[in-house]
Amino acid sequence: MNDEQFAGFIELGHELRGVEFKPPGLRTHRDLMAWVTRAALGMANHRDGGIIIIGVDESSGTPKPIGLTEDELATWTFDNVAATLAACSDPTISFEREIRTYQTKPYVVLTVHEFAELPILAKKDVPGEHKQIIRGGACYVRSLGKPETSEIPSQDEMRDLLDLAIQKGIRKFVERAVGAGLILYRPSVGQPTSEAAFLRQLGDLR
Amino acid sequence: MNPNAEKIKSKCYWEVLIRPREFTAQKIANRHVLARIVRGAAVSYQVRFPHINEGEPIENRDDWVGQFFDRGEYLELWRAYLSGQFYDLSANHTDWGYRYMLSPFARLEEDEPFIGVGYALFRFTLALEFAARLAFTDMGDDDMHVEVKVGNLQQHRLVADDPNRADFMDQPTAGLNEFIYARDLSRAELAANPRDLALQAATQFFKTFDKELSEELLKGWQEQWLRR
Repeated sequence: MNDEQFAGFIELGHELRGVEFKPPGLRTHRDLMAWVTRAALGMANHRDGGIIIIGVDESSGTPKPIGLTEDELATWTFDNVAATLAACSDPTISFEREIRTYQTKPYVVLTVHEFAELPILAKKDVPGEHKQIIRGGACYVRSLGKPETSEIPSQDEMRDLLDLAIQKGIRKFVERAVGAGLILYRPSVGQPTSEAAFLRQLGDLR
Repeated sequence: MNPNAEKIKSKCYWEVLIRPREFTAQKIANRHVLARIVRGAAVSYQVRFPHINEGEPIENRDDWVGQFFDRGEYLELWRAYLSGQFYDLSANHTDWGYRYMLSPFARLEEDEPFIGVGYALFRFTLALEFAARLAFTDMGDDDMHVEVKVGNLQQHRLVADDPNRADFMDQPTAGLNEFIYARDLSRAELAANPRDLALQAATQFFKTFDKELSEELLKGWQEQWLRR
């Protein structure tokens, strides 16, 4: 992502299923880090993952881009964030961290990758100042209704997650079975069909 | 979904897919050739299709090259694949604040979403002309497949987007949420007259608004937009 693309997300003025805003602050601020972790848990269980932008205040209902101070920015190192996410997720969340600038202010962008094999679960309770933010053992997802992270709210989100996990499980099984010689793989002419092959190439665009 | 695609698809969008009918993963041996092919085949009237931002690097991945732009009113993402497949996803400009002269009879409420007849004709023409040109490059083939999809159409009104025209005043609303034009075409068919193919596609599209517009009227409108 470059700064121009980043500006596009900020100026959109609302979150998307794959994009979540979080307000500015120190990573050591307990509630803020807990909400970021919760968002990362949801993004990791979302097809193609998603991004979390830290530095956008949403308390008024309309996203307000504020950016981070130098002191705040210094706390959002990859190692610090990775340590917190690892302590709260099982399996561990895979992500990248970058700093983007919008109207001279810096923002932290966490690009969270879709889970590799098994859906990510919260490893422990994380209480907030006023309410519990993360519940140990819970499975967080991006809800279909509106762009937010929540525990699985309906059968639709559960089905999406199961589909994703089953696809990965089947792929892994086939890889192992081929490797062990249980399945003899011989590509046949015309399989998959051209249409399917072209469609698969488009991946997360459609 | 890819976050950039998700952003574009959050409002009305135009999706163009052009590819050979047969899949060959490595039809183009080297992905660095792809950008050159797309640049060479791009159609240029008052805008360029696809829009290639020469000020930004072209993204290179294992089997594709492409770009994404976000200039407020103008959002576009395109990718060219080693298989010869080309994909373009563009926002419907007016949904993102772009305004231009409409017919004085186009009485729209503020922020009411709309699609102009000329604009729609222009979009179909850009897509089909580019497809015709691409078919003659190494990305093309004797047998091609072309798709143009307009998504998130619901509640959009069809308006005359020419201050000198009063061809229709009822401003019908789209009856369907999406329109798909998909055709298998030979290279020769594409090359013969892409503008006529665009007219046919647009005529079908306007039926989504329950509107029958004569070919003669649309042909004149198309020429007018291409002369701009």
